[in-house]
Amino acid sequence: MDLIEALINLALVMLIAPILDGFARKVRARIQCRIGPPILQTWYDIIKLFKKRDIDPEVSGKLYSISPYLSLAFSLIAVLIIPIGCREPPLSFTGDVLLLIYLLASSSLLMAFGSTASGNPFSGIGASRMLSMMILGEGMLAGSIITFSVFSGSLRIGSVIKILSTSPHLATTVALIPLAVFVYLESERVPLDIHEAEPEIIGLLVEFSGRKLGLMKYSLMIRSTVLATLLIYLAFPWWLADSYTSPFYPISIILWLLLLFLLTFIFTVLDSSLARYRINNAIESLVPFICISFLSIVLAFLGV
Amino acid sequence: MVIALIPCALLVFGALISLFIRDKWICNLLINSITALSCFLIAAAGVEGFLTKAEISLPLDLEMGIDPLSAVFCIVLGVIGFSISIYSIKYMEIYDKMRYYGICYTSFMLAMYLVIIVRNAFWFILFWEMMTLSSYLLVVYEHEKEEVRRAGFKYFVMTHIGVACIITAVLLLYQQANLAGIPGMSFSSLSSASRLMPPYLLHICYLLLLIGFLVKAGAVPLHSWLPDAYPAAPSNISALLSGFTAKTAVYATIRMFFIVLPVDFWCGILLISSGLLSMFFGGIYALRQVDSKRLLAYSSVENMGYILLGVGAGLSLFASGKGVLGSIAISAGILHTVNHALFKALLFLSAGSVIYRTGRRNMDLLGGLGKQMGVTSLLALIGSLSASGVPVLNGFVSKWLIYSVTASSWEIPILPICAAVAVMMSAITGAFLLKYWSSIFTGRPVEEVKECPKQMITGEAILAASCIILGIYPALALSPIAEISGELGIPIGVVKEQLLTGIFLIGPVAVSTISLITVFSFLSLFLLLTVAFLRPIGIRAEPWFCGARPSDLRYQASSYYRNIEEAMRAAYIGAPGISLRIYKEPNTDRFLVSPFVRAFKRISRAFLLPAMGYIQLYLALMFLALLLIVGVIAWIS
Repeated sequence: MDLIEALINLALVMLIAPILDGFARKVRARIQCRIGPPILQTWYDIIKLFKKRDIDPEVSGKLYSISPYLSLAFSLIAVLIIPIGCREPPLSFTGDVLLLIYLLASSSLLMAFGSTASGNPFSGIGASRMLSMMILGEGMLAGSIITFSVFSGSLRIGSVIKILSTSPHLATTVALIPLAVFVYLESERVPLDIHEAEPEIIGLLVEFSGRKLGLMKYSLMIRSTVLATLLIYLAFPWWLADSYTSPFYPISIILWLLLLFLLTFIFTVLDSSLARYRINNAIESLVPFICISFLSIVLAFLGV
Repeated sequence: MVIALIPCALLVFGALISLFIRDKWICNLLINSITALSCFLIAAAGVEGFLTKAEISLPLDLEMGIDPLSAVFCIVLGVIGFSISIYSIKYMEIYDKMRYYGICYTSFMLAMYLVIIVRNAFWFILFWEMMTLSSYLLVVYEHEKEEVRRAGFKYFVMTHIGVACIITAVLLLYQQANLAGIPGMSFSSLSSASRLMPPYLLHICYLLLLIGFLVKAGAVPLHSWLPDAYPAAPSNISALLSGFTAKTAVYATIRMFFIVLPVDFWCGILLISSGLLSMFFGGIYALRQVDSKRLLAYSSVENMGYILLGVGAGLSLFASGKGVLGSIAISAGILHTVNHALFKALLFLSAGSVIYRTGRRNMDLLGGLGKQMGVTSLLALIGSLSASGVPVLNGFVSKWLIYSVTASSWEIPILPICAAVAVMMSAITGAFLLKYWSSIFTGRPVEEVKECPKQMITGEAILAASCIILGIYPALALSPIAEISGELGIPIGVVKEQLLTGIFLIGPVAVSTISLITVFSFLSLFLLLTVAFLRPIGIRAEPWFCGARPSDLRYQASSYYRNIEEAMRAAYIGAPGISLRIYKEPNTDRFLVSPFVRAFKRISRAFLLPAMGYIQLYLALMFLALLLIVGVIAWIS
């Protein structure tokens, strides 16, 4: 494990994730003909939340208090497994893609367990909706990740990206579709923001306040940044430096940032122009993508 | 090897004295202490077996031996049997019929132990049958209840169809051994006989053995006894059934298909398909359950799917010449067997604790126990998270190994697809265990209960501690498991290197690194934020209910996954359009079990025909039978 690279990646993602959210808020405001908050507004929000006093429900358990930390911890470890700028991620071994899936899922799962531990039945509704979406999401993610690994003959993100950069194929292009949908789903945007349920006020985070709320939101942002990065590099596997000492490294970081902002822009435009689904619509709309992701595995085996 | 025989003697002694003790309390204490002690010795025998590979041959061809494969299972039986016995000391207080319990429990334990160490097919079948019968008697413990009797009968019928298949297969092998002039029914002589067998007969043997073992394992489509039998039994027995009895089928599968019989590719594919079905249907049925133990029973079916996927992948890879990868697949399957035994026993015991205090299994009517049963709730949480595969706990390591192996077996295209399904099913595991944990332990308390007694908590805590230890340091289980590949003719060193350090993973080293990083980053986050933002103390308030009166509101277990159930209704009922409210699980019994039961009834009715109440007729029949026997004997000699 390369410690310097790990620290750089962590710092980058931790800094950028709230800014991306701020950017999304700005874009949404512009679409709605508002001026919108400053781009650093999400950072201000998080810092303010960290300083605030918590209000805990009487019936809550211990897990309610520690789950935000655990959830954030899992999201941060996931940062170490994806490459940013360099071709080799800091923590790299065979099977790291599968670990990535598990870390992100565990982060969501702990969020769900923590929110039900608050004792509020509305959190329970949020948690069960989140997991319903996660079941379908994991199906899409697993299908497309396995496609990439079958295609490239490797279970290491570093080597998958290296092999992808030589020749793009139909199978991997098809596999990008469910992956993109999954990234969209995980970044909690309309029409798939079922469990957050902003318009209904009740939802997964209903009982979280103060620092716990801040941690949960931060964890969500980091998770969606990690996934967006994965999507970017699987779609554009070319612009990666060999190591962080190479002169190309700053350029590849800038390219990464540009693509990240571009992706956020596209997602936000979609988000602002669509209406929210009911949960059963959302579930039914995702089923075809699971089929696509499994189809792409078959395509990868056929070698097209 | 002498140490391996002490538990047998102890358990027989336990069964005998339980006949003579009338006092319920003493009998309970004595039986459970004796079983706990013998489980401890069983684990010791397992460790000894590792070091010396002991073998012993008693009169009547009773050959026993502990090789690494048996040793791993011995240790698992030792650990879970020990903690379940400690738990039972208090748990069994809510039941009567202690002498019945004593005899059945000790002989059940004895049979499970003997099944995994015996080396002779005749005795194997005998002990297998003894295990089935004693567990049947334990399943129908509360035989006053109609549904318990029904569940028990189903268990009895299905497992005996399985036993019949196993006996037929072994007899076929024995006949072949006789033809070839190989004496005895020991595994080694059957093994050499099977090498001489015509292929079609060998394939029939494979199929029969497979049916026999899959019934016991509770794999789809032969699982239909399992979700009835596990909830019907007392919880400690369910824990043992799910934790070990189902695992003896895994043991037998590995013993028979890898060591005794020549490896076969299609057998592996059958195992994989059954694993895939179990994983899928076990997962989505568990999502729907409102009975806590029934949910866990389906979860066992699902986990059995993971194990069969690992073992089946191993078998297919072996048969196609990829020995090392195959060994890793089997090791992954066995590691999941070990892990599943630990966390599922823990979960069943926690469900038992809830029954002990509230007497209820219906999760719709439970809630808010977390405040009053804090420790039980924590232990159940560890079990749930471990089963869902959250890193730092043991379930993650084995699931990840299974995915890694299957996803990189590109030679057999079905395997990477199975890996994708398995990952998806893992999310379902998380979903239904969230339902299990949160609908029982979170929310507003519905009643006043006390924490469980210390003995019960100790039993669960041992299992929970092993879940955490194996999660952080999986090499503890993996290096003994890697020894098994030595028996399959693969150099242990290579497998060990691949499993522990090689390219396959930076292995448990990496996994434990992951666990350590997780723990470290969690702690540092916690400390950093607490120090950096010394916050004012939080206040406690009513949960926010959108203005409704809190007492009105409960989120029932049955409503957790309504939407996803609607979306998957085709999988539940086979025909879309039928309302979910009246759905039943697809009844595989209708064409798998009922024909046998009906045929059996018809045959028995035929025997009733001469029973018309004339004693002369009976005497005449007996005389005829005697004549027939004499005639046959005369003809043979």
